[in-house]
Amino acid sequence: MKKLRLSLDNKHSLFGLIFMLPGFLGFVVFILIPLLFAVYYSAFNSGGRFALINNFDRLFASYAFLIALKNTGLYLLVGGGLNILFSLAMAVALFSLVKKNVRVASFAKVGFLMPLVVPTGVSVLFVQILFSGQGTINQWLGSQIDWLSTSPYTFWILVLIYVWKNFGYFVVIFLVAFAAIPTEVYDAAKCDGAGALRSLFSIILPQIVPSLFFAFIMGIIGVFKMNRESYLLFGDYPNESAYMFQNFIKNNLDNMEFSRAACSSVIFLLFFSIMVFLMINLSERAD
Amino acid sequence: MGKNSMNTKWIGLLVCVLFISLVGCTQNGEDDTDKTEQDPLVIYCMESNSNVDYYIRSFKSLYANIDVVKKTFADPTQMDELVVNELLVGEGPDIIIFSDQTGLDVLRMAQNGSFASLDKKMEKDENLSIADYITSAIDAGKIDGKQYILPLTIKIPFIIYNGDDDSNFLPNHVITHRQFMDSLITNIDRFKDNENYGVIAGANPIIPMLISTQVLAISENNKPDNLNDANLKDVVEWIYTYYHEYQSKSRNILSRSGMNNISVAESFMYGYDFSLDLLNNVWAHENYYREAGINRLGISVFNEIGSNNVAAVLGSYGVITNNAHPYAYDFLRIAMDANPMSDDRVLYGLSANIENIRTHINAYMNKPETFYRISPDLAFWVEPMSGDMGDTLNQIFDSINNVVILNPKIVGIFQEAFSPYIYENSKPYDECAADFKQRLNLYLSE
Repeated sequence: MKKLRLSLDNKHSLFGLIFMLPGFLGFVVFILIPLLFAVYYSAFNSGGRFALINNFDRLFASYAFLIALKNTGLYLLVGGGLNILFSLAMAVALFSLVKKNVRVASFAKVGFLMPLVVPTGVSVLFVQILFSGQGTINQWLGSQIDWLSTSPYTFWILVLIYVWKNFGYFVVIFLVAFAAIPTEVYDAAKCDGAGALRSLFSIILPQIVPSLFFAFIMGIIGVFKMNRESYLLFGDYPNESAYMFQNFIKNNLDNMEFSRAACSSVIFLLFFSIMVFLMINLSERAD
Repeated sequence: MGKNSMNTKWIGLLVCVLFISLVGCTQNGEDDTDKTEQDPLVIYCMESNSNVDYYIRSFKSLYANIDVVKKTFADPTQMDELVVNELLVGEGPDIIIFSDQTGLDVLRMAQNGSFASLDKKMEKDENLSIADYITSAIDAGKIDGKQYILPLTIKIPFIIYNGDDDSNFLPNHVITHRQFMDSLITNIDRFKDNENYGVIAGANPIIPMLISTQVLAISENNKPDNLNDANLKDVVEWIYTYYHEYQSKSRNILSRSGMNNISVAESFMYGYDFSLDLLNNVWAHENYYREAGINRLGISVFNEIGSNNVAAVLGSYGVITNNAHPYAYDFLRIAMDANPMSDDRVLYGLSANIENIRTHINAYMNKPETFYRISPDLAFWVEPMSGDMGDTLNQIFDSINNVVILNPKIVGIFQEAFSPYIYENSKPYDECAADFKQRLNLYLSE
């Protein structure tokens, strides 16, 4: 019997598959299968009957869902947009310092990442100390505003937390992107007489488009990870301006309303898929 | 390559559709039951619910061949978490006996299909006559016109006090919170200078007030416009005044030190504490006050809706899960009709069965002299309850016609929305009320 011999290429492929297997199994068990279950629950009711249109109809008739959708969209635009703007500006400033070998730039890079490692409970406590009725902000301003339970301050507090937590991470992403641009490009721009602003908008930003798109996608994911801070600060039923998608899904799951939670998840999945598809296409065109 | 890629996509889509169909085929319908008489009947309940052992004995006396397994929980949160986790995967007990301490929105869970509807079983139950029960207690367990919950015990906020007091502290047996408050404020100035008088001050009185004022009564259709603005303002202002004016004047005095106390019963001051039983407390305090030379114990219950309409909350109630044991309903029916005087044992908590309430009152009127301990430091001999008190209690119970299930979500929303006004005084009432309505609207429209 002929012994099966694998070519070197096939051996590498096999080893690659073996190493991939745990991650792939994890993806299937913890992401793909629950996703398919969510799609199922969005299409069928608790009695097992097909009710796709009815489920989505009930969902869109829910005032709470519409508020959650509106707030989450706004949060994404405002929080995500501000985050990218600030982190880009800081990355540009830091990069120029790095190029001049200013030491503080290295410390700043590490410092900006610190909020990412601060436990959620600690950051929530910090926010409460700052913004509660007898908090630091009110003492400074001499006011008695209950920032944590008054609309629209609750929304802006969530935006603040989001930007503070994720800002450093995006600074690092953009710094890496700037560093990847060949120095000849900068030199050529200088030779052509381009100023700093002109270089930034006409040469540097187009070069880092893939990183911008990556940051945008990570920003969307970051918005949905803010649920912990929102829950600890405002509870299950916060002020209307702080009521997000995550609140809606969690509360429906708590009440065993699977189809509604699943429908919401499917909507988010569709939105996210469209965003990723658009980003990939735009990124390819930019290349 | 393009063709292979297309084929892969089609295969992937087909696999997904097959998977979804497979998942659909494994879902059971509402009326399927996998359990038989041979399976044990599994019950989840709170450890503090001492009546469940009696329910089990009564059930076993009729159905000796059915094995009953009771799982108890010391903390309501533990039970809540386990119930949700098990129901999520289609498992769980046959019967869950909830207490008013649960953090779950049981009615909403029932509405979403987590528990079995009892209508068919009740229609076939020839021994069931709704007229034997406090009707509103049965109606409290209905949602969308279907019965999901059966009441086991009910609780009423009450006050017991020195009835000989010539100040006529509380004029009637059924009073409003406003009347109580006004009388308390009027009398507290007298009390603070007299060592023999005092009140047990303490925790928030919000919960019973919200119940009895129907601020928390949401209709079956969950319409937010049923919120009674006038009652809401009245309740909040009462609590505000209580907290800012009364609390500052009160002293924390234990009732044992002053025999002439106005003892504001814990179930008012501390909310619906499960350990408190109206009849048991009245029986004990009547004797306690008798020893102090007080001839008459005063008792009043609350009403905010109108004359002779007393509000109460379900203290414990039972549900049956889907695919439950075939005798789960029978167990709940036995629990609902639990006879307080069986085995010479007086059960804890008021039954929803009117006849059982009367039996319960008679039990305390005929109870032999008993050594009773109120607290680690306070114990005494207790004689049977007086006939006058029995008559008073019967009058009170005849007035119960508004029983609700405590909704922990709404209570939480209320406390979060109004704390800045009531406790911190950092926000005006109108803003808090608008915030409360906004949050309540979110909850109701989910």
